[in-house]
Amino acid sequence: MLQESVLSLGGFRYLKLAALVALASLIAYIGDDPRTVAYGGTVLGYALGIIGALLIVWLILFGARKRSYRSSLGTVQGWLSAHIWLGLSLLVVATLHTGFQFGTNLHTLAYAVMVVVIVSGIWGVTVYMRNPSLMSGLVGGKSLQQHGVMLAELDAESRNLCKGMGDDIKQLVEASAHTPIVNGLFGRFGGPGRCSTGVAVEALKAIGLRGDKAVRDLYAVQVKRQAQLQRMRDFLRVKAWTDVWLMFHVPLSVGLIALLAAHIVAVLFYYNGNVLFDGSTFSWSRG
Amino acid sequence: MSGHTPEDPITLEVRRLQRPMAGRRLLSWLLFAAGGLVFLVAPLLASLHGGDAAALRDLPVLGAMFADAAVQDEARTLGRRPDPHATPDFAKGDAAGSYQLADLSNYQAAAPTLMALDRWWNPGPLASAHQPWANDCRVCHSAGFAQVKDADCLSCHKAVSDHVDRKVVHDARLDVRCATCHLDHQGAFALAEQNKHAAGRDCADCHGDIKKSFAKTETQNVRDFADEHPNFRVQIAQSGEPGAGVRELRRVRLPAKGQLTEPSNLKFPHDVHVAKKGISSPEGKVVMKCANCHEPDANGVDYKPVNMKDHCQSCHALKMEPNLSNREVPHGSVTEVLSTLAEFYSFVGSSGSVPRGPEPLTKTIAIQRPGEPDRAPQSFVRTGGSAQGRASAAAVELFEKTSCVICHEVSRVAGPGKAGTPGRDLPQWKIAAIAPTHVWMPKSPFSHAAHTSAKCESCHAATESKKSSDVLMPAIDGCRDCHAGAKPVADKIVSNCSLCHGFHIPVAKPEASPAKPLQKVAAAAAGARP
Repeated sequence: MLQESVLSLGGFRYLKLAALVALASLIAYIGDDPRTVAYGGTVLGYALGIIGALLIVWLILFGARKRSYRSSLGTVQGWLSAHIWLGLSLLVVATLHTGFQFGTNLHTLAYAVMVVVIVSGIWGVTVYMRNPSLMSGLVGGKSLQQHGVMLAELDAESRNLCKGMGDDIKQLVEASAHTPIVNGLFGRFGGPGRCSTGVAVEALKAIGLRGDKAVRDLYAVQVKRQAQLQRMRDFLRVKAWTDVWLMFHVPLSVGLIALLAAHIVAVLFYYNGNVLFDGSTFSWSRG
Repeated sequence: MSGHTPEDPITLEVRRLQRPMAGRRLLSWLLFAAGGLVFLVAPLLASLHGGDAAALRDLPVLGAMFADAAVQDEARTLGRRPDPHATPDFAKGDAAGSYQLADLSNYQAAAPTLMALDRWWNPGPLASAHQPWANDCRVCHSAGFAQVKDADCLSCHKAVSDHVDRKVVHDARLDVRCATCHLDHQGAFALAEQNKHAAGRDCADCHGDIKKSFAKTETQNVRDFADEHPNFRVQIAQSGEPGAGVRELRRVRLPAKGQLTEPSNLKFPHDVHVAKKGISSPEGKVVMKCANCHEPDANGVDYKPVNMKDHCQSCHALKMEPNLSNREVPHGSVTEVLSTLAEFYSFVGSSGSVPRGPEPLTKTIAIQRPGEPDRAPQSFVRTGGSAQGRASAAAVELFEKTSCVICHEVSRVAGPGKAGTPGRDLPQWKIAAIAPTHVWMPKSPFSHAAHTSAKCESCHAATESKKSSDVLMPAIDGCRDCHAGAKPVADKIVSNCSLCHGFHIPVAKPEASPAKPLQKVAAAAAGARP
């Protein structure tokens, strides 16, 4: 873990804020004595619902803030830290908003989707924490482009070394230089695939054992290339799985916006709440 | 990039790999659109247009989606779905029970919102009684973006009474909606549960200092049954002779000492009848139980009225010649009794024999009134004189010594009697009317069925009551032996206000004469408790 991770940012400033929100909600819920039952339509139910809805909207705005590089509204790191901790507090706020009433309806669906988004968020945070390279995008302190350059340099060196050698060796080196970093769609996820650098290493090892020093040098360069590829592939595998996580986290949270809007319109249309304004704004046309 | 052209395959591949996985944006839009269409746009359109499917069909663009549905919907709802808001009242009656429902017998089936597109909006199952309308949201939700109105509830639940007549007292705290307390969509049996537990929750808000809300009230302050509840008020007749027209019933608080009484015109000493040593009967000494006369009604909540034939006459026979015949005078009007006597002794005079019944003579209990000498019942068959003289003597014996007078207030009145009847020229009497039964505690329907574990005498001091005018209603202390207040107490029943009291209290009406049968009044009072 990092010395000051995104979680502990500013002395756990956002953890404290989120804990305050969750704790205040919990205390209010325990202390509340609704006239009939605890549900989303009581005074506290509405309050928690409004807080929850505002939280959801703000949490989704993180996606916009992340992309707007010119914004000076806090650091992205700070936003992320708040996004994580307040996202967790949303779980408490929204659960108390339901009054633990669940059913096969839009309202519970919206809640369930929200839970899936939050749980996937927890999964994402875990992945990021275990692989700090994902945060920085750096592998061993270097960017992926730099690693690509290093691969290309190793290829140039290999080509230089094999100039006087036979065509079979030259072919091995060229095949190695052209082997893809990841194989096809599933290569990203660590699936098996043919690696020409691995083939070259095995072949050069066998030839080099016969005593040719130049081949042994070439072998050493290809071993370096193999190690270099492995580092990049490890990084790309983790990154691919993280991308898959984002395939859940982001579209589901966008879908959640639609469900949240539907939920709010539905409960206000068939107004089952016991608070706030009364009075008709719309009358049925009875034909 | 240090000497590498953009065409360098490694650089290109690295750049490609760094791009986020494709499809996230597309998937986001898909989920957003699907969720919005299925759960927001479609149900909203269907709800806004209500049963008017044709209007949906005419919508631009989206109309095609509803083309078939609209036709089906029109066919389905044709000639159906009378609006409960317009149904006539069902047996509105005197509203004593005040829980009449509208006549919904012609209400065939609810018309669901088009294709039930808004079914996913339903936040929870309706109460079982409301489920026939579960598909037709508009039955209760008469307007969109508004709470369910009291008028929506009252269109079926006719004549639900207020807590207090608004003409008597108006307090803003009583201005609550039906749905403030009765919250549906909480499960099939939730409304019944709410009625049991929720009513009475806020009683102390007003009743803790009731004079503040209503200065003229006779109601005393109540906060909790355990120690802040006054003694009970028992409803008794305050004016008018029993049976003489309309009587005013008033609730009178049980005195701390002494006995509350209500004139009944009946001579009935409970203590003699339920004495442990027993009481004489044709079968010898019997020990009577309360249940010999007080039979539970069909609900077990209250008791059927006691009547002469079933509960008294096996001992209190109305024999005219008890030593010679089983023949009895009817337990009816004075005219009927005198006519029977005149006919009986006329037969005796003309035939010289006594009209016996087919069965052997049964034993008669001679009731010896206090202070009177012990004597056998007299016979008038062998005495001389006319048949009318015998009948007159027998009537005096019956009315004033052996039978009527035992239970009734009997007074001699001037003759002659009813014209055209055989007993017209006999002496005449007046029997004071018996006070009709009525509910003793109208503000708290008490279920005897719920208290069968207690003995009658643990609440009703019948073994010590010498007069039927004694009102044998128990004081609050007896209840407190078992009932705690709202706060739990070991070995006692937690008792909040709603355990005994309802919120919707029927407006009390002066009792009309003849009295209503007890069951009807009790049922009406029980209706006060939802």
